[in-house]
Amino acid sequence: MKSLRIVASELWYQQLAYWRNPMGAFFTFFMPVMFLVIFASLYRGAHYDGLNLDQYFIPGIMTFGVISACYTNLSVTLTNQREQGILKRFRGTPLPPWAYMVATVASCVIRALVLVALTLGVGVAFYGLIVPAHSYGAIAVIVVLGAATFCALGVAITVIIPNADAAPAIVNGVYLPLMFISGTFFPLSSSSVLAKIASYFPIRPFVLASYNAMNPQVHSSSIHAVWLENLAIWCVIPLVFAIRRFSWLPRRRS
Amino acid sequence: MELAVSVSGLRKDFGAVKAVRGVDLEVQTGEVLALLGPNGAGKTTIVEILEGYQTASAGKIAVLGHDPRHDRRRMLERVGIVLQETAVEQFLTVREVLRRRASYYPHPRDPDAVIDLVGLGEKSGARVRTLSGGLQRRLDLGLALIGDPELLFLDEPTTGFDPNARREAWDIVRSLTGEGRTVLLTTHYMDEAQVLADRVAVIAKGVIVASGTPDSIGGRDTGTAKVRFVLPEQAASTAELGLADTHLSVSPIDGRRMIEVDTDCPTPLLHRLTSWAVAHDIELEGLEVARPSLEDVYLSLTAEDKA
Repeated sequence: MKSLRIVASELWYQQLAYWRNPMGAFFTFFMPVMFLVIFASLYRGAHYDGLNLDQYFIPGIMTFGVISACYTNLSVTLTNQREQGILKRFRGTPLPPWAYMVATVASCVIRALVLVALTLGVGVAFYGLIVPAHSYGAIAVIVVLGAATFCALGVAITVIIPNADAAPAIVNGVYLPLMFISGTFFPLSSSSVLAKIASYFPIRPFVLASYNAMNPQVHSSSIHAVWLENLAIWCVIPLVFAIRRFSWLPRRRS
Repeated sequence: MELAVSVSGLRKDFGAVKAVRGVDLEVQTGEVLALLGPNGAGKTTIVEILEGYQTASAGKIAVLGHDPRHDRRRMLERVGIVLQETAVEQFLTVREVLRRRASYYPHPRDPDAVIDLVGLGEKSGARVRTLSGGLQRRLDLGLALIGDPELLFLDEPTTGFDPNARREAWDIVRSLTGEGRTVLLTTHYMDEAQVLADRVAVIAKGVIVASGTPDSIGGRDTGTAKVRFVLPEQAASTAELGLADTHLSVSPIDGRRMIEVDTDCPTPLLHRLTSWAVAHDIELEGLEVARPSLEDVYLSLTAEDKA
């Protein structure tokens, strides 16, 4: 009970600090919605798989939102806090380190959930996106698994980031190319070489599972187990790595 | 008296670099001890080992009876730590960061009382990012105090401060020490050690080269004193002044001669000197007796180490 209270209190203060930083909050939520509007106008009238193309790429934008909130945000924030000495200071108090980490991750998951609601809401309201009622459960499972995977990756990648300046370059350098070859914003034939490469990484399974979950023509049982397995593996391995190697102290030695 | 900190045979190697080379240190409960030394002497390494941030290569350590390696959480409930650099959530207010920190401790102090103690009463609703560097440092001290610590670690608390901000910080630190709290501070400022510390340990190249009260360290109180004065024109020679057998140096000053005598027994020397002056009705210009300053002692101690 006491642990739960500590995590809840930490979560409250982290949310407070987050929402008071208008620039940070604005870009986290503005970017995916802006992408959605831009792609929707580019793809106007286009079709894919017998459906309006919006039905493909809006779930893709949703995954982009989850990845931004979990992987990108978490890794950059943790690196900055590590290098500024904020994490070091928390380690100088009786606050259990796991409680801080759980609250930080939960903060990102809350943002991810807001983004899921925002992208799907805008899609349904303005772009004729169909989210069938029978897919709600499947979407929830996929979003939770995806958020867990990209949070684990976000924490793990801080281990190889040497300083705060390098954080955006490394974080984006790893994930932007992968996002494009994963067909996040446009359909990509599964027989293409790029898609085959991408299928070993977690973004493409996340995108395909999200698309299939919302596809009104197919039943959600068409979500292949191999996609979920892929996400689970990309969750567990980085998690173990992060637990063993995560650093609370700045890398620069004075 | 019970020891707040007890360290023996402490060593820390970073690869081939021996940062701490066998340190024994005891801090009494209620005492303010300053670890004084140049940059790179090993001060921060020692303090971070005591705080549990780094692990020692060898040595026995007890902080309030806890081993910081194995019993860190319980130790952290009883100590306050001020690190060299201030780093606080920029978008929370002063009161919020103190309340948040208070929630980590079993018996925290009242956040509003701490705000008053560190002189941030008017700023309690201000966001941290709007505070000046000096005010953020006060908040830092407040954060270290919120858990009502028995022992306070201050790592170079005023490095980078302007003289006014340093004096203010000293006032705060002094106000904290009255309550029976033990303080271990590191500094490379002699005056800071002199003002704040009950006892000083001078550290150079990873070993403690001297320790004692600021007034007596390195034999300051009993060591060689310097007696200086301008040789009066009426005196034909220094022998006439009773200085025949002394070790003295002469340096020209405005066409006259400044005499400087090193002596272990300044009292009889001064007696001879002033008796002569009184007998001849002469005022001795520039007369002074000086013990080595803490800075002199510090420089000689740390210079020997470099040689």
